[in-house]
Amino acid sequence: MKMEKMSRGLFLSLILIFGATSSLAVAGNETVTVTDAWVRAVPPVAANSAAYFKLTNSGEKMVELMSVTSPIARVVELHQVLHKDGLSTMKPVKSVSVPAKSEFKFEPAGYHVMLIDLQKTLKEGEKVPLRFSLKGGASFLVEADVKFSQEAEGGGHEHHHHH
Amino acid sequence: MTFQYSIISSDVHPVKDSQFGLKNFALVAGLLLSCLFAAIGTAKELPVFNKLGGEFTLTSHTGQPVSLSQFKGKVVLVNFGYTSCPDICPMVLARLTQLERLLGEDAEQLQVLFISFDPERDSQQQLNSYLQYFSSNFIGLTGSEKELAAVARQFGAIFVKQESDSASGPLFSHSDFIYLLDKQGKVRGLFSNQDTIQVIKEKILTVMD
Repeated sequence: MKMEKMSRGLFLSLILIFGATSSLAVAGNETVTVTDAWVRAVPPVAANSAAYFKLTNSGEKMVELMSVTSPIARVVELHQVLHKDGLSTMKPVKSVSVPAKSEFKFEPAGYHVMLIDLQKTLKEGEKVPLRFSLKGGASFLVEADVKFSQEAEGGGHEHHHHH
Repeated sequence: MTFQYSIISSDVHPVKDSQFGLKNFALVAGLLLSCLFAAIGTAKELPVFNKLGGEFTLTSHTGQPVSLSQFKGKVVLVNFGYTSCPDICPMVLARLTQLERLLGEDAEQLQVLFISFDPERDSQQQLNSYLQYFSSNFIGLTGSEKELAAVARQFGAIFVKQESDSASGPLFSHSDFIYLLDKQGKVRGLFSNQDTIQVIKEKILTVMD
């Protein structure tokens, strides 16, 4: 699609300018930014891991994150963790909508991108590519940092997503 | 100190015991009261959760039978999880690793026990390699489904295997408390993911020398 090519081209030039810490995509008039993307470093024998980030929609229209893919995992799914009756339950979700002028955090014990059947060992300090695809066909690449844990994980981390 | 805890219907619980719901409810109600008390009271001493815990024997990540009583004289942190878990379990283990570092020399008085409720996928070898990554001091334990259900019941821990659409295979709904046991093996605290490791450290120190 023409739009997708445009957004990729624009993205590629932006990543050259801004480096790998954040990324931008332009889908129509919407501007989507992914920041603070990180993947949890897990033991080499771990089958799965998770990716977290902040998705900001500074555009005028709602955007919908349809999928994330990565060569580091055989399958990648969007998951939500529900907390009910003292139990935490992971549930795959088909997509995540982010309204205009708002942000959405994927964070531990909240929403996460589940990286299933890891194809390589995730080492702290490395970067791994994540490709985000939005409804409408736009997609863009984000480099996520591999980290042992989130700074805030010492506890008392925020829980924004009460549905 | 706040946490929510209530009981799911017994038909989805792996333990087939019709009494379980009621017993556990009473237990949890007691727990909540104790926590309230602990929060209101000015005493620094942690409460004793008499109805939780107790002796158990499971198989370690090296294939040895391991009993809780072997750790008399050590402060024990017990956590339930499974190694295929992508989010909560590695987060809790990362927190326990940070906690061990934060305790410094006092960590010599500490023993972390990670109990896997997924014996199907978590072999001794898998548990061993998985835990080594976090800390060579952590001990992984697992057992038969029956043994694990019994230990979980002792601690009021819950795990329910979920068949989901996920390509990852079975996922578990589970409680994720860290249980603090004093040097006599008595349960003295439950920590949720909302408790900072600094707070947990302070509480651990009250039951150390």
